[in-house]
Amino acid sequence: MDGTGPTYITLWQLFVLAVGVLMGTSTLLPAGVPAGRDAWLAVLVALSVGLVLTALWQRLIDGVAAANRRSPPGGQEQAEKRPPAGRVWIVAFGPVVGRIVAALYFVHFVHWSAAVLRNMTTLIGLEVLPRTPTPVILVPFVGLAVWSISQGIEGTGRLAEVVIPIAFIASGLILLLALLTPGLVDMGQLLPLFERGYRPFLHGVLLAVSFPFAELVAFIPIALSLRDPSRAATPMRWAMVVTGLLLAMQEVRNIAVLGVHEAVRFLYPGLAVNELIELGRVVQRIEAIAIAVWINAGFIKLTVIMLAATSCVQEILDLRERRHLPPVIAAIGLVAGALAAGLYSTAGELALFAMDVWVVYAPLFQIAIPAIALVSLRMRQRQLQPDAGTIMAGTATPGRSGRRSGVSPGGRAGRPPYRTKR
Amino acid sequence: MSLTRPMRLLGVLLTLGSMLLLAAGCWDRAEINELALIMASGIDWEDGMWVATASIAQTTGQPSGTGQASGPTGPSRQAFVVSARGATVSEAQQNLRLFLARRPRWDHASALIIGEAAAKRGIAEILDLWTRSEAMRTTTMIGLVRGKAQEFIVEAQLGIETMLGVTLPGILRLGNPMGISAVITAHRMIRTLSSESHASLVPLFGLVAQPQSPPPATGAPPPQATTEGSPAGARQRTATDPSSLVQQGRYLPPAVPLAVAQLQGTGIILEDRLVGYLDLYATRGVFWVTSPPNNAVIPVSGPGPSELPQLSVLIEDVRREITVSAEKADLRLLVTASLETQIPFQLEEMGVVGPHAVGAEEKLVQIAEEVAGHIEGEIRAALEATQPLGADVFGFAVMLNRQRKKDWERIRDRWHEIYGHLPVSIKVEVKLVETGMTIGPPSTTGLRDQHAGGSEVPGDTGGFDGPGSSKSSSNSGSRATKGTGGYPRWVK
Repeated sequence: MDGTGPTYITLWQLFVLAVGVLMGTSTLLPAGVPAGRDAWLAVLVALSVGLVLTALWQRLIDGVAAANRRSPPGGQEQAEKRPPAGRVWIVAFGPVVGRIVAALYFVHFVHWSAAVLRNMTTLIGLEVLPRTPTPVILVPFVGLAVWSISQGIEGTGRLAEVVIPIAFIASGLILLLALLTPGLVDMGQLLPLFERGYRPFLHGVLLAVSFPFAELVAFIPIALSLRDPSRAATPMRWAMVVTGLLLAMQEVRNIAVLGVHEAVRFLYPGLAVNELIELGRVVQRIEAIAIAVWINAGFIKLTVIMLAATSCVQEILDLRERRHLPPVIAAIGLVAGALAAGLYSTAGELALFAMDVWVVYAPLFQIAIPAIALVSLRMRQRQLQPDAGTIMAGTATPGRSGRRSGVSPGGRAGRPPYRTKR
Repeated sequence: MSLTRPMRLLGVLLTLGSMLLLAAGCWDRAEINELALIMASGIDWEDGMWVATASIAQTTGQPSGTGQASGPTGPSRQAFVVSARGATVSEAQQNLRLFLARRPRWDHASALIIGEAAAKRGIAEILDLWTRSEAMRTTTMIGLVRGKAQEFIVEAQLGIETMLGVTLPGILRLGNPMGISAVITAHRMIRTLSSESHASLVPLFGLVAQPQSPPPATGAPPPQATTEGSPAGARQRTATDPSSLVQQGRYLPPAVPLAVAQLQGTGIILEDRLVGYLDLYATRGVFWVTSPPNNAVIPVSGPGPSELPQLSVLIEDVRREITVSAEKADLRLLVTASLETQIPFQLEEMGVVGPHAVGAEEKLVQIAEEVAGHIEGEIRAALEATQPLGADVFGFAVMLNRQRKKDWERIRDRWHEIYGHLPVSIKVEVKLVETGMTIGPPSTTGLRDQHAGGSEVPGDTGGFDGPGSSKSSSNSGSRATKGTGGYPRWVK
């Protein structure tokens, strides 16, 4: 990679990246916890909601990709040089509102990166390296992520191709080992269904939708790195199905092994279960495998989210060349690292935040804004059709009228509306 | 980004250099010679303080009796025992370091013994520490002792195993198929205590002199289940028991009896406090319902005139059908068992097996009924001991919640009170499916007959007049081996 050319990912890479994001911390922190014994059912319902959401995101991706094809930023001559990711919100909302939305998403992604980092460092700090200072764990983690992201989405995709299948298979095997350990599993713990009524169940469904299924919203800008973005939903749906089933089974295991009260009380119930696995007094103490899985998948998740944050900066600052990005990525890593260390006083506070606040706050970015963006995109398309038949979105510094509307009347043959920044 | 050659070289050197520095070690390195591996631990409550005791593996030098100097001729023991006090359990454990030059590691502590006073005060803090701290493992087995855990750990002399942390889980593991124990780990105890019943059993250990008096028999008439610490099943050592001298490092003649750990029953934990004890008889009464045995021997008297147990019935499989409502609980146990002979002649003499097993089926039914009665008696003993305490160790509340959720919601706040008066109907059906691997008793008396010059006429009852024999028995084929080449006479 020379640092200027476009980077693309394949559908398979998008699939493994999506599995990585879904597995990243959700196999560590259980999804659907408020549903109690019915958490596994909440995960399955949330999975179906997530599948519907992919249709929304796909339409938005299609619209943005079509607009970008009709009017690539910087003109056709720049199209081969610019990074393919980014430029979603300006296309959908126009240059001013689009930048505000991109800034909001930037804050969201950085905060989310910090939460993921916090979870990973907490896990390592609590279980693996309890006497090692947190910065010593945090700095290499962030540094590696920054370096990986600076290589572009293609590098992360290739890493995920290696890491995620192994992590997924290992997760499945660990699950199987827990089920095979004699006397460990009590399926009766799953009864009665809807023990505490429907409200906690719905709370669990909402939490499981926002964490992890709707987290694939981070792939909206990244899906533009596909050679054919119109097929982005397929790998995302498959990722949701396979990971959703794994998560549901993990919920079953956690509750059947620990009991519902303990499954809710433990910060990392999966880890508590893995400590109990003992097959014939030979296969035991396999937490190390589980921790390796979580760290690898968590790293992939972190890089994807930071990539999404980077794409927001690209939109806001109209950065088109990859060589401009490393300082931005480093800054994002620095901020995320600092937030990870200082935003939450304890890991328990972060868990409570995820349960009570994230469930309300995250859907704004996962569902509401993409839905509004889709409507906005359609309206803008309709407005432009009588005049030019297309939109010229994502203008960074177009003419005065374009700056206001975010749309150039020039159409396909018009003057490239972008000022090249070097 | 393209880098110049010197820059690349610099990058490679920096990477290699940092790898060399980082690979040298880390903050969390744990050198084996700097660790004190705790194999078993104890918690006591004494004078308003928690007392933590640790039995640490002796990894260097000559094994000694305890932390204090042991006599060179004292018994070999590969543990170093230390105790420390603290305002909290965690502080007491930390204070163990006042005696140690090595960092204590709790990962291998496979047994946690809780003293009676600590258990009565409440074990919530202990369980919380065991789940909250990464240093502890929730697979740690939990046991109770009457008296102090510290004394138990110090005084217990080990037999085959060298570590108490290996011995105690081993005893429980072997007792599990017998239905008299279960390996109650920290995880399992928390799961049970946090269930709807909020009650759990914990194995109760004690020290007995070696050679020891017979342990409380599971098949004997039920001893009195006690609700408080009592001498029944407690330490049976006398005041002159010299084993304490071992701990003081005094000379101990090899022939002097030692104190060994023995499983003596279970303690009843309600919410987080010890409220009573069950002996082995009542303990199995609970396990018939919660975790049935698959290798338990039930002694029964059989169809003969004797009131004493003459036969052994081996329980191999138990299927449970349990229905619980707010008004009553119905237990139905379908037990599959095989018949064994404890005294070789009895089966045949009772006409259960052999060539003259006339009406054997009725007699088997009779034996099965006796076994069923025995099982019911054990369950009744457990109910009688736990119902006055309101300690639902059977987990009826859990079943009620699963079977009748609305009923449970209605009475959940009064469950302990309701359980105290809950009528429980018990129906045990026993099916004897096998009579062992032989069809008759061993031909030991035939040789005796030969040497005694007994009759050679087939069918002669022979001349064995020893205890347990019955001269009037006419169908004793085992005593008629002469003339059949030493085989029982029904073998052609």
